[in-house]
Amino acid sequence: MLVPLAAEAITHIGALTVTNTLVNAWIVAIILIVAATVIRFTARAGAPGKFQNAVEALFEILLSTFDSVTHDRNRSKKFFPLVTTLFLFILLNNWLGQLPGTGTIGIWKEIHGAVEFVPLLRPATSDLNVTLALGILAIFSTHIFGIVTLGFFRHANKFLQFGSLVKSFKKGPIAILTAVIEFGAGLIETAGEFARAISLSLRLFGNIFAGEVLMTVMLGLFAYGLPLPFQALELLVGIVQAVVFSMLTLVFLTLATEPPHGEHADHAEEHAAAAHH
Amino acid sequence: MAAAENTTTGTGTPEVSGGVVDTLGLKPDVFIAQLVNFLVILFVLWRFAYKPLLKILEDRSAKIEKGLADAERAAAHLSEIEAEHKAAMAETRAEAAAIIKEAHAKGDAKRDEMLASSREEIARLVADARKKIAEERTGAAEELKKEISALVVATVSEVLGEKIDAKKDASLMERAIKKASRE
Repeated sequence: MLVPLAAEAITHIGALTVTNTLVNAWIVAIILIVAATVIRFTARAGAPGKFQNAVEALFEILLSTFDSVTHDRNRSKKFFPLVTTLFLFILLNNWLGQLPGTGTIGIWKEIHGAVEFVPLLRPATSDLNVTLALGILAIFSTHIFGIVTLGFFRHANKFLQFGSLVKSFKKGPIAILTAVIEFGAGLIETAGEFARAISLSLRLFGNIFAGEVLMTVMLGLFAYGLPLPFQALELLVGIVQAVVFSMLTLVFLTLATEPPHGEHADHAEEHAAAAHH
Repeated sequence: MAAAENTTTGTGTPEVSGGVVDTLGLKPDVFIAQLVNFLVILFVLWRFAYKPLLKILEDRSAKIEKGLADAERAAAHLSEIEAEHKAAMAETRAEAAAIIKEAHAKGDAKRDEMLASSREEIARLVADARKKIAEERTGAAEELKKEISALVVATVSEVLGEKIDAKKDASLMERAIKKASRE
């Protein structure tokens, strides 16, 4: 029996369907929250302890990596919470899939009249609900950051360039033509935002789900020794996908907080025009 | 895969319709639960881990930077003081040498002066003594001359007044000499 694409329901709490991926997400939440709480109550400014030291080292590495994308320490710090949480959450979820018992410990449950085996644990990132939630949140955040740094209209003008179109009418036919083309480009950009969210989600989901299927197949073929190299591979895929997701989010955040294209040129033209008059 | 699809879509679940969404297992309640779950993690990590730790890191690097700057300043200060000290020592030494030299020169001058003055004094004393001796000698010679002439006169008159003979002459002479020596 292969892993179904959809996460399987284990039980219901009120209106909420508790799926096996939700159980994994909760485990990751508990791990991260406990770690954060430990940090909160043991962190000190003097010589750090072992755990604090490790976390500090991780944060330093992440910050300097972010700097290489943003080229600006302040922006790196602004994006740090979201991108780091995405990274840690995805990484832990991916790796938790390699924990023994994932996909193998489960309950027998009657679904649609047939009794089926339902595993209790399944990596949350192999559930499209999770990856889509993360992808949409990531892209949504880029727009929030864009609006906060650039202002609503300047940010919106990157996508629906009504402002540039109206301005171009004062400048003559060629400017209008350019503005119309840029308006079309803006529409493509708008569609691109949805594509970004979906591609982020599907990439992560596809990789981790494929890993789960692969592990199930290998375990089914021969359970001793054979899955080991694939497990090592899955650990690699886990960190690569976590890095890809968070770094892409960082790149989108950086792009969203940069002033729109051609704005400089516009200003320069306006200045020149003002000087002529 | 086909079997899995059969179990989820084949029988047709009543709550969610639509092939792709159903096959992929997209459910609004699970979606929202996962989103909330992530947001809770984000919030807790933000408040408990990122904020305090990043602040600690920043404070620490600021502290280290300050310490390094302080050390640099202290070193600069130290070398400055050392240079000052060296200069002061050199100045003092030069001054001391000058004082010693001056004292030597003064001492030499004084000695020369004293020598010269004592030499002069001696020369004066010697000259005085000579002069006195000369004066005394001339005085004595004159006196002697006077005495002798007086004696001669007296002797002559005595001789002329009496009869002169050899005996008388001798006693006369003796008397005259005695007289002269008494005077």
